[in-house]
Amino acid sequence: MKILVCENNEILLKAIEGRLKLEGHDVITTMNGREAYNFLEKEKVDVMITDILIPFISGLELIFFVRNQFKYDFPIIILSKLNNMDTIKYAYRLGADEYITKPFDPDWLEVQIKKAMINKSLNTKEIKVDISENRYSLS
Amino acid sequence: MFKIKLYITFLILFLSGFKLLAETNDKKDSIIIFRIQIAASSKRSDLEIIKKNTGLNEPIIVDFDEKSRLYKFMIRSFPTFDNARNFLDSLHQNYGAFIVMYLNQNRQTEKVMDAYVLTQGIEIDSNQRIIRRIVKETVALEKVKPATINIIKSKTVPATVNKAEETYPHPKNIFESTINLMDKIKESILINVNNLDIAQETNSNVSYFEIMIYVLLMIVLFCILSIITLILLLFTRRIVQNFTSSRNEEYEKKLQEDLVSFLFYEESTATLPPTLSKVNANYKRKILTDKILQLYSNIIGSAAERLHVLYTKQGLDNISIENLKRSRWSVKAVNINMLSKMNIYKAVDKVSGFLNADNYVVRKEAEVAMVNLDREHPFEFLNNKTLPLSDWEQMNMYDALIRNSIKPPEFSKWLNSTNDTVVMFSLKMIRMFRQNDAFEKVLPLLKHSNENVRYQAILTTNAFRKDESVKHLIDMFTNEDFRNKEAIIRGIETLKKTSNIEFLKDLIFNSEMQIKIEATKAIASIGIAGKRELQNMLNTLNDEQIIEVIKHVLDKRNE
Repeated sequence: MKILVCENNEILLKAIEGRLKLEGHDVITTMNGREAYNFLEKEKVDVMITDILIPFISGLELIFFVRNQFKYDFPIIILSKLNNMDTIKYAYRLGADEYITKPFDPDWLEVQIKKAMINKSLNTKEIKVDISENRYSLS
Repeated sequence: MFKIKLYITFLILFLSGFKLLAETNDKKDSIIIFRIQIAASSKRSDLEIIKKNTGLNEPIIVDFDEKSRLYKFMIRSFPTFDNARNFLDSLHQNYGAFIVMYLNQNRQTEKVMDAYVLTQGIEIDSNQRIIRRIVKETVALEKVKPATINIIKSKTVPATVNKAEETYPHPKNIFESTINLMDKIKESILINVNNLDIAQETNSNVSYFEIMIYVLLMIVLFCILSIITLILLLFTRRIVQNFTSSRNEEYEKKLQEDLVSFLFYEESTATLPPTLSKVNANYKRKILTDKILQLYSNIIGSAAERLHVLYTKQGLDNISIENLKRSRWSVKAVNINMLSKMNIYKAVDKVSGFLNADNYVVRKEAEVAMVNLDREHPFEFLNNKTLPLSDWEQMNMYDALIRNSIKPPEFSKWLNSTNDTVVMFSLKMIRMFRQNDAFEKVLPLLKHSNENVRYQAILTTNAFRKDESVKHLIDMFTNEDFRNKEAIIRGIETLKKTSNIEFLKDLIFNSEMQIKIEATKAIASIGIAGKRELQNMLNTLNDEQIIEVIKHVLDKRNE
């Protein structure tokens, strides 16, 4: 899975990158909103993880561009220290799929990504249920 | 400090250079000799006649004067005036010989020093440099030593032309042309003296100008040297900075990789990668600490635990504790913060020593650290808190409490504190954590002498939403300021009890407009009963102002 991570704290960015690579993901790291924007102009990713308070273009602005300018529908996970309800609501309204507050457990990041992926699929795709084999799949 | 020393060195060098130049200048000006002029003539060929007339068998030096167009005939050269004078005395002459002074081979007594005029004195410094030379007419030769010749200024011109003539009688047997010329010179003595004074001034001006040139040159030299030094310093500093920065970057890069690998890839914490195990240099320790703190404040779980292990394994906790002994407040504050963030519980005793520190930042950091580190009694330090707690400190303590998920203590035990800010903080915390058991202890604070404490007590009482509090609030209402009155009305409003309508109705007639509005709004919020009451008032009252307020409150658009 190709994951774009946008975080201005370098060591934290490395830690997230390391943790996600451990799970076998292809991780693209950016330290500011402009880098992320430029990357997204050229390529699409499967998931984007972003902080809110990042230089040049904020995380919330980035969500706006992803959803309204690039028209991408991949899951967006916010990873921020901002913990007030207004910001969280605003992020969801702009199109964020998950909101994780710092400090966070890197081991849980993978779970959050999967959760966001499933939620996205549930919202956008049909669920095919195969009763005979007692399992369901997303298409 | 280094720069200051450097500049002082340059200043010393500059002054030494100036002194050296001055000395050179002195040496250049200090060649003074004295000669004896025996005659003067318009013809050089008169030399033999002069020798014959004077009877001298000395080598004669002939000096041509451009201005008077005369040949001056001189004998001998003497280093001092006294030597020349002694020699002149020994001649026992009657042909009008006199002493002539030469400065750097230049005749100084050009027109003035005729047969009747002598250099009365010169002012010289220790290097025999002429500072001032004064020539007076008809002054008898006196035995004057160079060292004592600085007498001139105060000395009045003592002699007359006659007196001078007695000492140095007018030559009678010298050839005619010379005598005539001497007479002419004698007539113009006064003018010449004045001219000489002017010439002297010009001379001294030139010398001053030269000094100024030297000074300017030295200043320019000093400026150039300063600029060069500054450029060198900046250049060196830039090199050092570049080296430090590239070295740090290199280490940081390696450290980050090893740190991530240690957090997520290593099986156990027993073995450390080389960048994490060999942290001897100060800069390495600083970078490692910085990175650990940055990560530790952002992550939780097993990775955070590993970071804590790394921090203690490297002895960074002990270094921080040691740094608390340092005198600089900033170092103390940073290390207290570090110990708090890394949850180094063993540092509690050391940190508690800074709770009443003079420095505000250190004090604040210590308070937050105590909340974080003293898990059993996080706010025990409030017992001994004598200095006021600022709002910022209170916020930080509350934040530490929430962030570290610490169980809040019973804040009611600090309600009797003599420190009003501690009481206010406790009231806020009681309100925040809904410590309803404290109700009975909060009520007496409604009568506290400090109005800010009373305000917090009103807010806390309101938060309890207990009917029993209304009586106390009504009792205190009259004597409170607007802020407290408003808080009381809002507290009563939250209870939404019809029994309170009567009290609120009275407030509608209060002189303060804002109180009227708040009371009307409180009645309206009670429900149907309240609105009905307002409607009745609207029908019965004649006060236009109150009618407007009630109409405004009852307007559905404002609901």
